[in-house]
Amino acid sequence: MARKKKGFRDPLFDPDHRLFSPPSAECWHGVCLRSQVPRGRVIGMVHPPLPEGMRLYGPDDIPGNESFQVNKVRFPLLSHNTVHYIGEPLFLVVGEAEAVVRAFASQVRFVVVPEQNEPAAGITRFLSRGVVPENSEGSGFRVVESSFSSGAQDHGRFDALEVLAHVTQGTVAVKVRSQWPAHVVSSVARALDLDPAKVQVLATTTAGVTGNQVWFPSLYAVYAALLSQACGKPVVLRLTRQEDFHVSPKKPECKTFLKSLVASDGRLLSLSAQLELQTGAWPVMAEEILDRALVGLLTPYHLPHFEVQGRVQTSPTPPRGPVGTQGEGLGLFALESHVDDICRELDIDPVRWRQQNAVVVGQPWFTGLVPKTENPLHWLLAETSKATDFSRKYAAYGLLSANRKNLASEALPLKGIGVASAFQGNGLLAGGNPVHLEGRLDEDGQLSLYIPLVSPNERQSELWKAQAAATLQIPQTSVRICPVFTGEHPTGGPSLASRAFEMVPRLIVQTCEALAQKRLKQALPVTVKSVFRRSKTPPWDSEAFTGQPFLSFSWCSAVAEVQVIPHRAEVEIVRLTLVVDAGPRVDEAAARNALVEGAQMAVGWALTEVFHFDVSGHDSGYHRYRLPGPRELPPLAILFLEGSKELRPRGLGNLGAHAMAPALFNAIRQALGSSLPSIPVSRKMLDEALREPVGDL
Amino acid sequence: MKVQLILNGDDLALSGGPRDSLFAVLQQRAGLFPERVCCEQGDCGRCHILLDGKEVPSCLIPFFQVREQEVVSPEGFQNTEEYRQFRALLEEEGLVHCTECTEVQIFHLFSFLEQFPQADAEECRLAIGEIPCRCGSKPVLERGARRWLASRPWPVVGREVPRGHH
Ligand code: FES
Ligand code: FES
Repeated sequence: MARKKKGFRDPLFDPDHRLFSPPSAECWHGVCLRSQVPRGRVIGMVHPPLPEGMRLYGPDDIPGNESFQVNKVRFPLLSHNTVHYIGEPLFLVVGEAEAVVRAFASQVRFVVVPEQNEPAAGITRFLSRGVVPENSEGSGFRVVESSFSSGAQDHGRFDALEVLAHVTQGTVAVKVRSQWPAHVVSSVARALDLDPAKVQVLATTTAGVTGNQVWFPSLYAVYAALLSQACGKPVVLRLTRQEDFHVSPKKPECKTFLKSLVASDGRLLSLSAQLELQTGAWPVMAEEILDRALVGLLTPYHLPHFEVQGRVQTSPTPPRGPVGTQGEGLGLFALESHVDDICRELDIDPVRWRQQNAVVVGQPWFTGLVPKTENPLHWLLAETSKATDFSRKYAAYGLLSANRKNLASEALPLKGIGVASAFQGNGLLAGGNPVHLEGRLDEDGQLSLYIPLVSPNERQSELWKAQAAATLQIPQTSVRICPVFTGEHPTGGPSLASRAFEMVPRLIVQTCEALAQKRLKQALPVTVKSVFRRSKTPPWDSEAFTGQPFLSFSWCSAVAEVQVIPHRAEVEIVRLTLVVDAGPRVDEAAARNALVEGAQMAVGWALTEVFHFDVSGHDSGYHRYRLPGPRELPPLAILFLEGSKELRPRGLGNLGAHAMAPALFNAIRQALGSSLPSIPVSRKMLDEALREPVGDL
Repeated sequence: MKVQLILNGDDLALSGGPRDSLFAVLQQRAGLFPERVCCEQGDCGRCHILLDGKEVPSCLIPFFQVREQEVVSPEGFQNTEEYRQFRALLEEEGLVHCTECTEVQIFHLFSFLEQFPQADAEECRLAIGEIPCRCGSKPVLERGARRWLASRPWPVVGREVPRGHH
């Protein structure tokens, strides 16, 4: 490889300013021309005369492969003649002045003949295991049924996506905020029909767990690169916040129906569930999300028998993605809400029920494996209950609610408390690509690292450097991380925060230990390459749902305390508590930050962030979408416990989001003493619930 | 249309259209707020500036209105010693940087604390929540605000009363 011969002068460490930061006066601007209707056949385009110098770019202009690919799913970069959703890019336009390009774009209309198109194939799963204990239907056994639905959620970041692409002879330089630079490289190379080694991507940090959009930035990187190639100028393509809001991937909507058979002492005997995900026009990453949602349903509790069906539904709306959860949060929301229905039906304390049914050592798990390490749920719940005085409050609020006559005319706030437990699966179910890391130690003592994942923030990169420096016993200032990714760079799948926490540190230590050995035997410079593969056996089988699903699990339990104010039909959150087991904290501040972020995400998902598509494919709009404000965000009390045997730090970015949404939902339902069908819990829903006759559970 | 103003301490004349917002002119003619596309309707806080010492969303200020006024943008404010001190304090509290809006949050919080030096914890919390953002930095900002206020003399109109002697 040419790069290695250049040694520590590798130019990738000092990104070329002329390529990645051209003067803004030299940059041209690209805009996507999008469909205005949800489906049909395009028969023409009406637009004013094209201003001089500007260029229209259509599907026929793409020199390479015309489709965009994410794992197994492909869709057209610019659809030729079929429209699949409102906002789908059909053409691109590029010109010198951004305002002129935008003004032109706003006047373009596509002529579309309405037509029903073949929906993309969905994905289904059917799993069944174990046997229902005999005579279960008799007296003393109860059947509990619930159905829930959860809405879509936006990433909620205000700074919309922006890409700079600069195609010069022999090189394509792309600057973009992406957590999956390897995918940007391969997507650009594929569309421009180039050797991936010629594509250089400067991937900026992804700003926390919610800023991640996995595949979405790659798509716009391709558009910008195509335009730059066509006009011979560096091209900036930035979405307006509204544009970004309408088309960027949202958390998929999810509908679930659950039915449990429970013994009168509370033991869960059987669970049957149907879970349906809405993934928009293309099921991008939907398989991973669906499987994780099902794993979310099946993991926490011991199930002598289960029967689970999962389905991914496509529709003429923009493709969804893993926002705020990789998937398990969707299943956990339904399961943990259903558990509360069971407890209400059986009049059992929800903490006690969860402790009673949590998988314990020696009991087979849903995969058929028998876990060797203890499930920390039992004592996490015990600590949570102790810290919040849960059982007493639950009983007291239950009593208050049972004695109420007429909710809507209650003068005092209605109090409720809810608990939920949750986990986060670290790593990808499919294992992702193996992660390679390369380190080179030079004569001057400098260590250069090529890490295939983008660091989630600067603190994390500093931690990586510190780890390498400590292992090699060199100053931290002598360690540098290559900021540019190319096709000849070591590869890796998307940089999920958990991979950054778990895989990269292990690889850094492994690489540096090998370098330390090698430098004793060999003159500097020395180079070492390491690979991280999932060694866990047996491997995960996504058809049969057997094997080890994740690299590791992190666990938590959450309690939410709320009051519903009847005359305002409003929920006030009084207190949120989160008890977490994710191993030792390498960076306490970052860990807290991630948990708070997740909990805020949950509050938004459960209460304020209303987003839906109507039957004609229009969304409910940017202006109705509200991130939780200071009134909805009370202080979050966090308690870290390190009880499990897993001594490595594990990912925790999604724990807050996974546990807090069902805890809140359960608390609101207890306050109302009635069942609610879905989140977000809108004012209208609250108002209706308050008017319901009391006792109608 | 040319408008004379003081921008980050420099006297200068900027030109813009009669319908331009101050934000648009600052971005296009003065090179401020680089690469940022915001809500441009007063919701996001990404365009806030100090106009004669008062924090306002520049996207809602007609450009012609700032004639002869003093404008301080976050870029200008970042060069001050106080900013450095405030930032250092937040770092000590465990601020995790976000590339998108950490600076905006700090600017907003600092201007609030300058304007309301007697703010209590709840008022600080509400002020911090005025800039919508996704990350988990709010508890850090709250702690930072409390520490900053505790470290400063408590200004009382007419006479200086040191904190704790009240
Ligand atoms: S641009 Fe959002 S408040 Fe001004
Ligand atoms: S400071 Fe940027 S998301 Fe909070």
